[in-house]
Amino acid sequence: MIKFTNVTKMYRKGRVHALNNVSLFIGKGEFVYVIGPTGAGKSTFIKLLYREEKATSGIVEVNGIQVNKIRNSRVPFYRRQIGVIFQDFKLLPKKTVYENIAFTLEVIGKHPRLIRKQVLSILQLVGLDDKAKAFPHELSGGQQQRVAIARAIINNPSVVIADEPTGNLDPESSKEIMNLLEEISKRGTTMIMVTHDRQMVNTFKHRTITIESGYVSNDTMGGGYNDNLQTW
Amino acid sequence: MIIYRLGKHIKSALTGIFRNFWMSFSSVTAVAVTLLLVAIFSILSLNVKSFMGSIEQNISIRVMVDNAYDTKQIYDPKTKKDPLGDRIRSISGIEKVEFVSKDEEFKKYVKLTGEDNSLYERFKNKNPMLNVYKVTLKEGNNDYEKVSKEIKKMDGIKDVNYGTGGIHKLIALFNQVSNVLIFFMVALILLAIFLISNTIKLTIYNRKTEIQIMRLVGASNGYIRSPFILEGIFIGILGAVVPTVLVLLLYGKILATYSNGFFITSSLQLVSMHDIQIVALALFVIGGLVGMLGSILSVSRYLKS
Ligand SMILES: Nc1ncnc2c1ncn2[C@@H]1O[C@H](COP(=O)(O)OP(=O)(O)OP(=O)(O)O)[C@@H](O)[C@H]1O
Ligand SMILES: [Mg+2]
Repeated sequence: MIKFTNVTKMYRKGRVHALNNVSLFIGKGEFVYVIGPTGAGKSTFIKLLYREEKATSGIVEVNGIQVNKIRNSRVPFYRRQIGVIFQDFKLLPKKTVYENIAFTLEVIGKHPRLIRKQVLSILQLVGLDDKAKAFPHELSGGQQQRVAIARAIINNPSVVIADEPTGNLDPESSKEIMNLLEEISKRGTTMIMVTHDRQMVNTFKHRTITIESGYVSNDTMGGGYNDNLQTW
Repeated sequence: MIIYRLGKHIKSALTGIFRNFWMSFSSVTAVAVTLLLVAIFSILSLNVKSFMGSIEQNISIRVMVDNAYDTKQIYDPKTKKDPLGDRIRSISGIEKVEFVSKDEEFKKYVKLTGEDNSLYERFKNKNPMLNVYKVTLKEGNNDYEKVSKEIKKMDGIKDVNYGTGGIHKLIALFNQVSNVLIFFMVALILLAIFLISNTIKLTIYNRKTEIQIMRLVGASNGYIRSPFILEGIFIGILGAVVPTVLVLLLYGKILATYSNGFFITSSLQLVSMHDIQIVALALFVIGGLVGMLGSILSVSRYLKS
């Protein structure tokens, strides 16, 4: 459950208005696209969700928690309920696939004995069980993104946020990633995905929120780009 | 579990040190030079303090009474009357006046030369010493010359002397040297902290992605910071190794060479190895603290949550 109430985000002491008075609701298990021209405020919207940035005003609520009110020292614990995926994968180049995923469990203090089992089963889920010992540079872009997804969902987060997860991928790999994200969403995980990929939005139909110059300009259930509305 | 985690942090701290080898090396060197200075300074001042303790009596003014002088004027242990002593006491700036009979003086002298008591027995009737008043000045009053002159004017005084000018010069010299040393120490400690914080900054920079990911997946701030703080502490402790070894070896040598004490008398003893071991321990603590401070500087600046 995600709820924005009159959320405004400004940067540089008010000189940049990234989000203006945004109010919206996203239910548990929903799959939502966030689209809009460059600089519109999409990444900002996402950063507010995982508390990378704090709203200037308004209320951001996730699973009943007011995100703005979380103390800095508690933010790490909040983040454990949220999986984040990026365009550039953000894998550690000197660690193997297995180590990259295990690392995220180590740093939150999971017992080493539990880690192995969990990592192997999540690798199976994303279809990379044969690549555990490979290094990121030995994988295709799509495979690297699957490692990143495995890492994001290993703690069973209630929300997964993806900022242009297919931005660096060819259409074929993008489709595979989409299938994987939909699969995860079907298990009850709320999925929020920022994308520029018109074809994908039109093929895999989901609720689509359009942000333009910091405002929500469109929010359609059936989804899809509307070439009359979205001319960018 | 805690040990497992600590092991992880230690490993990554050591990795950090070796990855920026030259930065770490210069930091360790700075700490080492600093601590060497700290060690020299502490050993010097420990010894000077202990010297001063043993030569304290030399700093008091010795008033020697003429043997021909009226014995009724000097201290009488039976009646406790002490007219000459009282006259000296009336001078301002005097802490205490103590009478030492020539008999006691002779005993002390015999003991000091290391001769056995037979010398005393043989010569006690031809005692060459004089009756003495030992005058100690109030703290802060260093005008030995003025007080001495005043006492010398009195009747029955054969001679007055105080320490030797050398002792005062020595103290003054030591104070100057310690000021210079303290200045360098502070400067070097600052330099060491600066270098360490730069080394840590580099490590933080090298691990940017790693830190970013730790943040994303919810590693606690303490977890993220620990290896960097540890790295600083390790650098500081590494810096303490060389000065400690040097100090223990060299001081051991010096002690062996001067085991019979300095000069003619054995009263001037160097402080024992035990004190130096405490100094060595302190070096490690200071090294660790300096390292910790350096890394906290970087960590708080570059790992803002
Ligand atoms: N840290 C920041 N400091 C100042 N301005 C920022 C900061 N982050 C974003 N902005 C500005 O806020 C606005 C919204 O940025 P945001 O990154 O949310 O856009 P976006 O919709 O994700 O764009 P893109 O599609 O190019 O990724 C832009 O004008 C951007 O320049
Ligand atoms: Mg963006």
